[in-house]
This record gives sequence, C-alpha cells and structure tokens, in this order.
Amino acid sequence: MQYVLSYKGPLLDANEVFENLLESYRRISPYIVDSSELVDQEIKSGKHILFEGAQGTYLDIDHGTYPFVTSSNTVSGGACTGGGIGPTSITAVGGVVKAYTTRVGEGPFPTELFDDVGELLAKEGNEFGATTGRPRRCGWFDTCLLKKAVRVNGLTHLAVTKLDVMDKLETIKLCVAYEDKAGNRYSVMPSKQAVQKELKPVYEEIPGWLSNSSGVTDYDQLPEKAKSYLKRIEELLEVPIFIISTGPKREHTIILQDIFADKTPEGTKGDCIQPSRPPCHTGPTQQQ
Amino acid sequence: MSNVIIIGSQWGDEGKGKIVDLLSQQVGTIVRFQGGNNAGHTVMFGSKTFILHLVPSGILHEGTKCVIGNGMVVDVDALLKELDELKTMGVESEGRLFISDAANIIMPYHKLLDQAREERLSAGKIGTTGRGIGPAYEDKVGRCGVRFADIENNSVFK
Repeated sequence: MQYVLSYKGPLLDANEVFENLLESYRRISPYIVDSSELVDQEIKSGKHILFEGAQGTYLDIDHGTYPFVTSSNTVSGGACTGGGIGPTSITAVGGVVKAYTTRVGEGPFPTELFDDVGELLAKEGNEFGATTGRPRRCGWFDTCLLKKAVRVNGLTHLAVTKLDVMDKLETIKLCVAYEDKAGNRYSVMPSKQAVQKELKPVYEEIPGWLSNSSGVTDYDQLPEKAKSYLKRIEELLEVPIFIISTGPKREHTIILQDIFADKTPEGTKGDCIQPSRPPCHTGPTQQQ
Repeated sequence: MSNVIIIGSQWGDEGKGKIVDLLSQQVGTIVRFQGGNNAGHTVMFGSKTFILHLVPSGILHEGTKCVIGNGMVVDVDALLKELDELKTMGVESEGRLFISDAANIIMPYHKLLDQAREERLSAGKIGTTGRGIGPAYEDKVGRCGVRFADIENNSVFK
C-alpha cells in the first residue's frame, strides 16, 4: 500500500493499456508457442540444447545476497522450472566466472578493492554495465563465493573469463575464507545480512604473471604463472575449467573440453571441439 | 545429445554472452529461462557489437532456434524493438524465435512502479534497472499477472 500512496506518476487508462498491448501482441503472436513442448521435441530430435542464464548466482532470489538480488532464480534449477523441462534431462552445468570479481549496484562484496588495483581492473576490464552503463565495483577472485556457486548450481564445468585483464598485476590475491569482527571464520558466504556487511577476506597470495595472456588461443602459450593461478582455482573448487577467455573477441578463447561431449562419447556431429588436455586439477598441481 | 545449462557464478557480467555465443555453434536450440530485458549480453561478431537484452544471443547463428521460456517476464515493446534492430542487421527471427505462452508480460504499470520505488528509496537502493521486472514477477507470484496465453481475454484485467 505504501507504494500506491507514494506513487506520483501519471495515471494509466486500463482500456488504453489493453488496446496498446493487444496491438503489439498481434505482431508477436506468430512467435507464441507451448515452449516446454517445443524444447522436449528438440531434445527428442537429438540436438544439443543450451539453457542460457542471465545475471548471476549471487543475484538469485533464494541463494543470492538478499535483498540485493534480482526477482528470479538465476541458478541452474531455474532452467528446469523456467524452461519447462525436468532435472533428469540436464547433462552438464557450466558456470561462467571472471578471473576476478565484479558487482553492479549495492550489496555486500567482501573482496571489493578501493585502491589502484581495483581501478586497474575496472580500466583494463572495461567494467561498465552493458544494460545500465553503471560502473562496476571490482575486487579479487573469491573462492568462498564460488564454493557455494558450485554447490547450488551443481557445476560440472567452469569457464574463466577476462584472464588477460590481470596481466599487469604483480601480486594476485585469492580469497579463501572470511572473518567477521568477532574473529569467526567462514568458508562460504553466511546468510545473515548483518554479518555479510562486516566480512573481511582472508587471502592467499599468488605471484602475478606480468606478461601477455591477451588473445592467447593455446593453453601451452599461457604464462606459467597464469596456468598456476587457474590450477589453484580448479583445485580449490574441485571443478575443471573447460574454457578460458583471453579477450573480448570470439577467437580470443582457449577451449579445453567439450561440455556437450561428456555424456555423448559418440554420435556427435564431428564438428565438436576436441578436448586438448585433461582437466587441470587432475594433473600435477603447482603449489604456492 | 546433451542439454547444458550455462549460468553466471558471481554477481552477473561474467561474460556469459561470449561463452554462450561460442557454444551456440554446436546447439540446435538456445533457451532463456528467467529474467527479462535486464540482461545485457554483449556479443562481438566481426566489427559489429550487439547488445541483446531479451532475445537469446543464439539468434545471431543462422539455423539456431531460440526460446524465451515460461520463467521469463517479457516487455512486448522492448521485444519488438529488439526484433526490428535484428532485422536491420539482417537477422530474421521468424520461424527461429519462440516465446512461451506461459511467460508473464511486463505491463506499463510495472515499469512505472519500478521507477517510482527506486526514486523513493534514495538510500539503500536495490539497484534495479527500472524495467518493471520485479513488479512483473510480484504479480506473477501474486497470481494477478498477465500471460501471453490469456492476453486476448480482456477479463484477466478485471
């Protein structure tokens, strides 16, 4: 009720709203279908299906940093309810993650940086919102966030993006725990808003690679220290990386595994991307 | 035959658009399942930059079917605008884009409410994009939303 009372905008005419909507609707009516049935038919026809999430795990209405969240389920479960298919149809879940962290708008962000490193990430990463143009807050990679993202989404694969943005950093930090004012440690983001606000990150330091990874398309061409950083992420999260993005263009990409091939060892079209190496975390790890 | 979900693992802006764009070369159908035109998927193709807010970025791949799922809320005018923009770039959507009849519609009053609230809450903003997404979902959960399936039935307004 408070919203109605505080609303000072123009009054809408119900008939006008309806007529306008109907006019627009007539243009899109050829597109309207029972999409659940359509998706089911596509699945049965033997083609790969991709469910494309929007926003991110920590903006999820249930699992995000409430109330600074969006109004839908952005986690993988949303693909079932919002796409009209059952969970048993899903063969893999890929989580996209930046090599550091950003956030638009308000809300807790324990690894946020307010120094020149944060500025460098914003500048090199061109961190301005695609929808709103708002500058994004920048910070270090946060494995505490990601651990819960792995759990609530059931991540089977990780795609790490914007690795090249970190090329000029001498030291890189990875958040491995949080501490509140009373000295309590947390390995994942706690639910209490009051606690979320005061969390301080506990970091593991890793030397930066201080060389070029921008545009690299072959894993072997990556700087060794960049590889160590990625391996450490895989090791902490226990999920293999399947794609590394090294620049904004489509070709600025290293593809390590075919996410579609996991449960279809044969019978794919043959134009699939071939895995070039086993998952990083099963190989020898370079400890810090 | 694989059915893969791609989601953002942080607070959005992880670069899902590019990853989805890469993978869409392999798939027959791309399905969006939540949100509305508050997404912003930047896709670079050649020298062109596309920002798609509503239509799945797979629409740029000829032969890929794109679905706006029942879990989404749709601003019809924003959708028409995006389809027109795609058309001027030579992308034909008809026969390739499918919209769920169970998806809820973002009404003009949802947008007005969203903006009015955001202005009212000058401090402690949630940081919405003011596009009526939140109010549209509220009405959906409150069982007074308007779905595409019912749009021609004027009585849903009363």
